[in-house]
Amino acid sequence: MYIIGLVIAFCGIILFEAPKLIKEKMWGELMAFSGLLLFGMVISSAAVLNIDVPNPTALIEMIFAPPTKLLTSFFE
Amino acid sequence: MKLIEEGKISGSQFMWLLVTVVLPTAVLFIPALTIKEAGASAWISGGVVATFWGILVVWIASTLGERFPGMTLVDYSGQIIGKFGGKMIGAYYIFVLVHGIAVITRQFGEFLVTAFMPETPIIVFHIFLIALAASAVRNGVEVIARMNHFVVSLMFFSVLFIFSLVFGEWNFNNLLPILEEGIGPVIKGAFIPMSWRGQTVLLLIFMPYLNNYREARPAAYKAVVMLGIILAAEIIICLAVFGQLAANYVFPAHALASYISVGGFIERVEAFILALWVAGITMKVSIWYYSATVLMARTLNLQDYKPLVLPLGVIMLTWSMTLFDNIRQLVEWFNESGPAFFMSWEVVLPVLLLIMAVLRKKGGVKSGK
Repeated sequence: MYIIGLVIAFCGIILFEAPKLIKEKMWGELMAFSGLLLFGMVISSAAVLNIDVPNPTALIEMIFAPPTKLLTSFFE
Repeated sequence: MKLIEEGKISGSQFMWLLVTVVLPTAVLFIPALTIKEAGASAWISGGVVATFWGILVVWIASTLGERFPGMTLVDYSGQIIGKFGGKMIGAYYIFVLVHGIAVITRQFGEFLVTAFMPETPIIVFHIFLIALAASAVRNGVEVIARMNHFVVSLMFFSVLFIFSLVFGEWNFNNLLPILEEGIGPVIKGAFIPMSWRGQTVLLLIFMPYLNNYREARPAAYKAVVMLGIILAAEIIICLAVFGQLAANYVFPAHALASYISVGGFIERVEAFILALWVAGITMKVSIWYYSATVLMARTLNLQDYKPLVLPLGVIMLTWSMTLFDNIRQLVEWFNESGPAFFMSWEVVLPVLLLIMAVLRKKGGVKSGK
């Protein structure tokens, strides 16, 4: 059900930005816009459909939790 | 060197921008997190230690920025460590900012749901917040800076005023003994406020928009000191009213506001506080959002940053919903990996860039004005 709302939202965003970019031949902007929007589409659809995608917070935790532990251990 | 946008801001607007970069969420979360670690001496962690840390961050960032007047972060990192390195730095900051906005949005939503509107789905607040911020970002830095000057100066002084209205409940014996267990817990408790204060490193993004880049350094020091004053005052008042029990609240500042009762006449001011915080957090998200968008446009060498606003908003909105299951997990994440993560982009990267710039003799007097 939510996926329909999502599709409508994405159509709205594309209609809002893309025609102007194509008319003014801003291809670089169009590329960046499409790439970002594609990424947004993938992660938001995955969230709506309850599919697990890699979570950047887990990545941050993996990299930065050990140094944080080290830092705070000086002040126990 | 070309900027993405031709907006110009003044020194005092710059100062308030930096206050907003930190204050709105700090006011909500810092007292509980700091008091939990440092106990009765929490105000030393939040007010004194973190302020010195903030001054250090500002010193590093503005020294780096002043070597390259009028240039953006991506451009001069490109000059210092090569084009590819510059893009990598840009990409890391974009990730940090977008992730940061997702976290801020979640904090905001959780606050509203917990404290005021438990029946409303949290995504409603997220959508409105990000949509408002997106419209502010599309209007450019001058609009954000002016609106921010108005909203946050109001917020700053009324928060101080409102907290002083609880004076009937103050008991300063709660603040004793000072440094009960030595300096260790105080430093440990300072890590969270330090990572918050260090967010002033975003001055790197806004420095090129200043009328006169020499105004950046004093304005940033002022902002850090003002933040120190208000956060120390907030922690002291929380301690004076609740004692160390304040650590058990998720939002002690909100509990504090609902305590206010002056002569049976001034009551229920937490709704007023809510209005200020919603405005303040909208400004904070706008500023971070703007930084992420222009940084991205600069990294990808685009002429216009506006097409990137909405797609980035979609990513932020999704992440704000999916990164954390609940507020406890978020707070846990801050405690467990927050300090090192924030330090990595607030201090470590700017310091490395500065050292490389000095060693390779990039920027400074000969290429500057």
